[in-house]
Amino acid sequence: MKIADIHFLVVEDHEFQREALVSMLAGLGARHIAEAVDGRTALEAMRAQTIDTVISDLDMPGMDGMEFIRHIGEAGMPVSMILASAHGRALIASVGTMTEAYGITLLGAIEKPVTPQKLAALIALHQLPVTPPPKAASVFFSEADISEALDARLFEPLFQPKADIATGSPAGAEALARWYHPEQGIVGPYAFIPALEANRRIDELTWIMVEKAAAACRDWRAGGLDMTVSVNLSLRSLIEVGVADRVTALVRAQDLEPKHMTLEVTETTAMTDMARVLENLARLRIKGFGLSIDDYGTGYSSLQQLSRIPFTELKIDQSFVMNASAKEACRAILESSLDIAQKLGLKAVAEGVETRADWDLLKGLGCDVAQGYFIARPMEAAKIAAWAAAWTEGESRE
Amino acid sequence: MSDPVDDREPAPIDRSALAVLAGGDPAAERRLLMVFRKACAADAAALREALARQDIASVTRASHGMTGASRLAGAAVLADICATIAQAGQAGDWGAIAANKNALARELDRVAAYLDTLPVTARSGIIKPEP
Repeated sequence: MKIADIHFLVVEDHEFQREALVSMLAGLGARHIAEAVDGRTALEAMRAQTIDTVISDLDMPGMDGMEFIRHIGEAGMPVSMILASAHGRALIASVGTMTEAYGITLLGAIEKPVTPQKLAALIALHQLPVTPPPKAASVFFSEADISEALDARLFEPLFQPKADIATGSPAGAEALARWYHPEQGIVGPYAFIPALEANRRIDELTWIMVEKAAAACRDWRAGGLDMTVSVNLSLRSLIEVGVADRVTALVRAQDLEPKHMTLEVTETTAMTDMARVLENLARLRIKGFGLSIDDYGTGYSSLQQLSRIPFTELKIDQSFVMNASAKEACRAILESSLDIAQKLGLKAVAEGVETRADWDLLKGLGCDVAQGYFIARPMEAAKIAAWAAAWTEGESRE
Repeated sequence: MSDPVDDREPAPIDRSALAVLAGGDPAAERRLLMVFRKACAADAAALREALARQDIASVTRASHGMTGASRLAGAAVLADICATIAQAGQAGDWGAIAANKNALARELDRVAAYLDTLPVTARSGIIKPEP
């Protein structure tokens, strides 16, 4: 979309600052610019005319920017937003997160003073095709449907590749569960994981994933690829005594050595039976499995877990990686996560690496391994060899 | 003392800032300067009134708004003084606000005098200080 075709609304209580924004927009080639002095008049303007992009101050008398954003979000108005404020980066970033939480497309946040360059860079994002928000499961599956699918072993892993950042070479792949539904096609985990957890059949899915991932990795390695495979494992699956032996037997039955599999441990609720979990984890480690702390920095993937589980790998949550260049706090968390990984002798893996800029940033910070759309989307096991042959860090196909 | 063309100190407004905002359009630059003159007078009146009333919330609010506007308009010294006052206001430090009152008054006078003496040249539309 050309800037001349975008309908802007400038919401700013200070007369000169508003006029300056209008002037900058006009200087950049904008032809449709409406103005409002606070949230209330802005909403009136939006009801009266087409608006594509709103540029809004936060601190305004009358209806402030936060309330204005809430009204836009709750009404589902299809606009993109640019926030501008002099109240400091942390506050602007927080309101930016709030904006996105309302489902509004946030082009970016500017710490005042606004300049034509800052504005132009963000407006250019409006001209890109907007990525649709992740679709919620549009079809509802009953617990009975999901249990039947489990009995029929309709769950298969897709594999998302990871690359070694220093050398650029393929490093491994994470197995991600998918349901191959006969009518609905490939169904993502959000549609079935909660139900499997509720009816306590999640472990059965885990064992299927471990077995199939082990078989896939064996085939890659037999084909000359020095790759490992990762499988997600909830700490809850490790409460039963004997789980470590069971996992080891499943993997060895597929002719894969445990050292080529990493178990990505996640936990979303507080653990009560930590002693048994630690027994299983120690045994898995002794057998040679890698242990990764998944989604590090979120929920219960905490410093406490790091201090008591013999991890070999630290997997930094994608939210910190994707926002590292824009949000000071995320950048600081990313850096401190890499620092702690180094101090503890853990391999650092960054999730959510989507752009060359992300890759270059991580390379500069000394991160070991990257995973995300910049490297590849999840794919079937049989396609990994072709991906590995074609992949070079300079030629992302995304 | 508030001569806008005083050689001994730089002009209170860096005109290149406004030129950038106007995207090189002389008419837009003229309009911006007129709006800044009006807004600046209103801001200054509000800030003076809040200072006289010793109303720290209003002082903070007015000085915060002036910081953004004057920074944008290229009035860097005024922006710095307003930022200091806004920061002191947020910290509830009336002593620090009072300590900057004279500097604020002086700079407001300098900016107002500068703005008041800017004629508009009919030919180019560009506003220039008197030689």
